[in-house]
Amino acid sequence: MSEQIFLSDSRTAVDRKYVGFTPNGGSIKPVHVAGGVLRSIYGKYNTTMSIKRLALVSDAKGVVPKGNELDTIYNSMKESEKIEESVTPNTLESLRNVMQRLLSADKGVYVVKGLKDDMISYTAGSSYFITRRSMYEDTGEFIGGLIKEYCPDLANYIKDVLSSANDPISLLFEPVVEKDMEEFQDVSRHEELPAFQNINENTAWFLQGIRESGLCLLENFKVHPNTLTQLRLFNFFCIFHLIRYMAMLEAFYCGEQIRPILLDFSGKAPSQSSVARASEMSYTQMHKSINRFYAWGYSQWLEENGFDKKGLLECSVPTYKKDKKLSSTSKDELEALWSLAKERAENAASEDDARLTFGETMYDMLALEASSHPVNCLKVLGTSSGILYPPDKLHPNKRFVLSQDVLEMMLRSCVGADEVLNGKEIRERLWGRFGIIIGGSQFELDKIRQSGMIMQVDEDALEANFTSFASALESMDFAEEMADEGRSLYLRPSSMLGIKSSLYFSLAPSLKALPTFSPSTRYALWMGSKVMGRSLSGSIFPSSSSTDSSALTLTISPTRRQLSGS
Amino acid sequence: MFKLRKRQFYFFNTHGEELLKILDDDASKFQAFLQQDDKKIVKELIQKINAFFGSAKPSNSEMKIWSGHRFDNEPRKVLISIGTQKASSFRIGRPMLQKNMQAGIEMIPNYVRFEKKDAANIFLKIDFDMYLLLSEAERGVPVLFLESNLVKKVWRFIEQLQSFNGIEEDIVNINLLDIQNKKRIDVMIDRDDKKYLSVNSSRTEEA
Repeated sequence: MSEQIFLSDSRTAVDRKYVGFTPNGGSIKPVHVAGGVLRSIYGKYNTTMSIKRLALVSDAKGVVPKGNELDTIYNSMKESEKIEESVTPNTLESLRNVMQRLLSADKGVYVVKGLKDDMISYTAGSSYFITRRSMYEDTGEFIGGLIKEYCPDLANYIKDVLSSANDPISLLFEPVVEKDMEEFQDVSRHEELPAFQNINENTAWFLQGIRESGLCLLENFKVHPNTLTQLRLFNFFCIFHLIRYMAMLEAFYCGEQIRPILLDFSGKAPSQSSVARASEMSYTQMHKSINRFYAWGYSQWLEENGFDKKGLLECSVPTYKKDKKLSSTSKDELEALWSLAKERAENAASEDDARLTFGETMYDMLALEASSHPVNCLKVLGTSSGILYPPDKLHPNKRFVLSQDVLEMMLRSCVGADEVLNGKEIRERLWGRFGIIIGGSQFELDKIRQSGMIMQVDEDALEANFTSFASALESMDFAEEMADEGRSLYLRPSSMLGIKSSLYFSLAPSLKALPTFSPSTRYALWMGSKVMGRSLSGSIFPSSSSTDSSALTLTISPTRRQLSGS
Repeated sequence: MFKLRKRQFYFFNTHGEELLKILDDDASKFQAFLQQDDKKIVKELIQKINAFFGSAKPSNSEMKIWSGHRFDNEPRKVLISIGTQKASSFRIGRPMLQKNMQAGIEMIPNYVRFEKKDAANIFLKIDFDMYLLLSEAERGVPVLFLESNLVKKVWRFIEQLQSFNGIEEDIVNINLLDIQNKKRIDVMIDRDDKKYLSVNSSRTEEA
């Protein structure tokens, strides 16, 4: 068989059959995920025409869409008694401009001819802003369907939040919102996928993580009063699980090991930190895992379409799409790749091995021909949501450095509203719910070794990384380091907990300093290290005082002894 | 020689108490701030936090509650507010040792908590660094543009104060603040009649 292969068709088929969405958008943004997730969970959408008329003033070039001219909108609102006489056209225009900026804060709203929904994903937080499917939103629909099925309590809560529309953005648009909704049919993209029809151990573990983290997040949402913040955290939750899903496709379908996500809290560049390098490596492993999965997926597609070794060796060079013209450079590159694949496949031991060789090559060819590919999509989503770092395009090698907001989401997904956890428990939950490794405990080292991800790790550096993680949480007021130091680090999402005044004794710096308390050290701690020098002025700490030696901190005493001696 | 003199001046000054009194830096101010009574601290903090959001004449009796929604990790571009919180809805939490420890250990607190009265779980820890940030805001430094961890901490606190469940009034005032274009829009809406009653636009310097 020497049928022509069209790469685009094979990619669509693999995405549809095994992945559930098309992770190929190089311009995907977190707001696109939000649009898809919220539509999938809410199950309805809106034409939002009134919102478009009022808030979409002009496109990127300053061109006003037909029908949205100020006079038209002003007169129409006056006629329908949506504005008082005292509102002038100028002030209405000012309001409309700010409304457009408000709804397109995530750069998800592109004003196109006819105000079509294709490029509109609003930055908002209620059912009135859920549009019909826009570009890149199938990704969100997929994870929305998963949450609906495997963590229905969280999905129902989010649905209630969307229905209530008790947020300032919805209030601002209340005079014009349309309440008629249309049913959204395509709600569960995962149901037909083999990974969810025959759930293996890895898939079960992933779904268990979604369920447990989702229920914990829900518990925290119930005591958090701001619905917009809840939706933002929920979207980070969805994006993180989407990234995990993509990284685990190989484990779902090919029985491979689960690759841990190593978070870097070192605050240093990879050239200066072994943890930063290891985190970079964990990203690279994730990247390679996705590549291998797609190579396998294309080999399955070749088999399903009747390609055997002989046919593939005779097959002409695949093209991206039917009738798509190639530049001579691209043509040469594709031909070189395909002939190399043929050379390798000729010696393949089996039909499957031969197809896998061609599958790998098809993935490489798609990376050359298509405008974007799955790894790029993952990278773009990760950097724009504060999961991957550095965010710029100059550094292709990313590492897992979380923004404070993502860290908050993670903590709220691991620590219940009334819970106090120790270091061991949080390590286990981070692994179980998100596949995350931070420190160098035996538990974490075992996970790293089992995955075969990193052969050599600096255990001390990893433990220091966990200490930095604890410090980051402490600086966010989410954790307190207790008096018995490292062994009893208590994670306390205190902004959610009802901490009584009597529990204040756990304030970290003072208690840590208890064994060496003296007037001087107390004062130094009270003022903080920045004013250490001043804190030691004579009145507080006279040179003739007998309290000078034993109780002093190491930083202070040498200087003092030296001076006393002189 | 200079270093030696400097060390003697700071570390072995026989008139240390007097030296402390005449100093007028942020550390001294923070020390004085912590020693104030709770009501004064609440007022000072409300004024500082209002200044944090760019108010030229910040009130010390009502705190404007702003919100800035977005799904990505970029800074907020447009802020929206539908109300204020009165000074009476806040209180100050002070750290203290347990009773049985108080007898043995004299503790000097190095922070206070600015807490919501009916929900002590919602608080902003005012330590020296936070005090410095808010003081800078009060001096007119546009700290709102910073995306530092401290600024994010203030945002986390403010966003938790934002609760809309209680809005039952027919007439609602909504304020919009376009940070980049320094434009403020005040809108009054009649929720019953579904109507924009008034729209006023101004530059933020005038707000």
